[in-house]
Amino acid sequence: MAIKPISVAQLNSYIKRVLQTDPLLGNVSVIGEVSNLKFHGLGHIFFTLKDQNSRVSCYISPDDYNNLRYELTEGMEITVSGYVHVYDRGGSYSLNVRDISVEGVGNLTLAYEKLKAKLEMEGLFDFKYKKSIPKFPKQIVIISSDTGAAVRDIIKIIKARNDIINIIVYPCLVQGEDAAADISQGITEVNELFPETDLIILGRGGGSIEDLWAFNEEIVARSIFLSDIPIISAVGHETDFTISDLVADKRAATPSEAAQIAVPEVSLLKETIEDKSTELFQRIKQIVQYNNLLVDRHNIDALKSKISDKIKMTEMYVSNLGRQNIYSMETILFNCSMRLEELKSRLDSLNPYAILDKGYALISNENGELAMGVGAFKPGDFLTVIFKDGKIRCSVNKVIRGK
Amino acid sequence: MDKINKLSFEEALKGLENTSEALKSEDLTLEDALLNFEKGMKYYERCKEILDEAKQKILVYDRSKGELQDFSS
Repeated sequence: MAIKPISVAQLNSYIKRVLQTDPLLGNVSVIGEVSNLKFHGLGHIFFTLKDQNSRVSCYISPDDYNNLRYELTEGMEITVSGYVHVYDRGGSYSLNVRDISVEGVGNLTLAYEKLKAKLEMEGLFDFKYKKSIPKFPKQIVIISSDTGAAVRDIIKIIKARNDIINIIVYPCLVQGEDAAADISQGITEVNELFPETDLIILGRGGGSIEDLWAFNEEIVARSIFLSDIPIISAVGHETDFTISDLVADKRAATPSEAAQIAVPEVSLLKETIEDKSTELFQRIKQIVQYNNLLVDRHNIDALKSKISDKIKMTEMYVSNLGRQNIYSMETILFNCSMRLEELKSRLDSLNPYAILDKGYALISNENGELAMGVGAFKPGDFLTVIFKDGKIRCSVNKVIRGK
Repeated sequence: MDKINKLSFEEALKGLENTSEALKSEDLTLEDALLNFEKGMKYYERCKEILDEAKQKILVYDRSKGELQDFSS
């Protein structure tokens, strides 16, 4: 039966219906290598999945992309799962990807490096954001599988070192598709439920890179970064480096090492405080001894004899001073009396009465003043003649001037 | 002085170290030295008290019940 001609649109529409109703193509997994990876505005992702002989266009919606466990990188081999979608207008089809999985060290390393570069650029590994690990934690939370060897190791070592600190185990998945979301929820919940916690140890025992992958997922990295409680990341063995290690406030090579870093040894602490108290005792003993010495050096008897010496010295000085004073006084007195004698003899030579001894007499007026000439008298005046041996009172008869 | 009894181990140890350091100073009066020593001994007692407490609890959080239980490993 011949088919009558149909329009292009009809053809494409038919193909679309056939392909999109096919049960196999509605849920298909395809292995291939990522190339032509393009991130468009609004979060749409396009890439080509190829193998040696063929290629197919792929598309991931923004929502599905955010839920991926791996960063996409050129050249990595991935398994995509999704469905075939036909663009009937363009007559082309693509694989719309819902999820991807990545296997093999090489491919996973590519995803790891990609996420590492991205988070590093955002500053999630910056030293300035690292919280310090408390030296003397009182409570510690272990986020890990509660049945794993890691938890047992950590508890064993903590108990051996420290019988004071409280330990809470927060159980969570540490492996598989749902592990990352579970760990992330755990970190958030521990911050809410047990905010008094001093430290979180997040980790698990060793395994393949696939086993440890949850600790390389972005959602875990972001929860670690947002935790208010400091976190030690302890994933796998020494040689395993994860994104968690880089974001965490501290990396421990193994869960056992995390336990050693996390809690101080009580026996050492006891030693430290004993040492300190011994130091205190020795030092105070030294100080007291030193002060005793000082007291001895300045003892009261010594002080007394010192003071009495001082007093004696002063006395001597004062008495010396006194003797000197007396001597000077005598000298002064002697000098004064000499001077007095001299003055007296000089005075004697000037005594007007000395002349009377030679037979002269003096005449004074009524007032007792010596008369120097006749001018002092007039007739009727009284005068006194003074001799060596007495006085005569006379009255003036006549005054004769001239010789 | 009685607040020393409430210090965390970290604070008490710091206090102990500080008083020990202060006692090493040369120009300390005897009175200050004795005060420091007494304080230091109080810090020491507090440290010792904490270290001797030893009331460790090991618990596991039951996520479905939302409660803490004893952890038996």
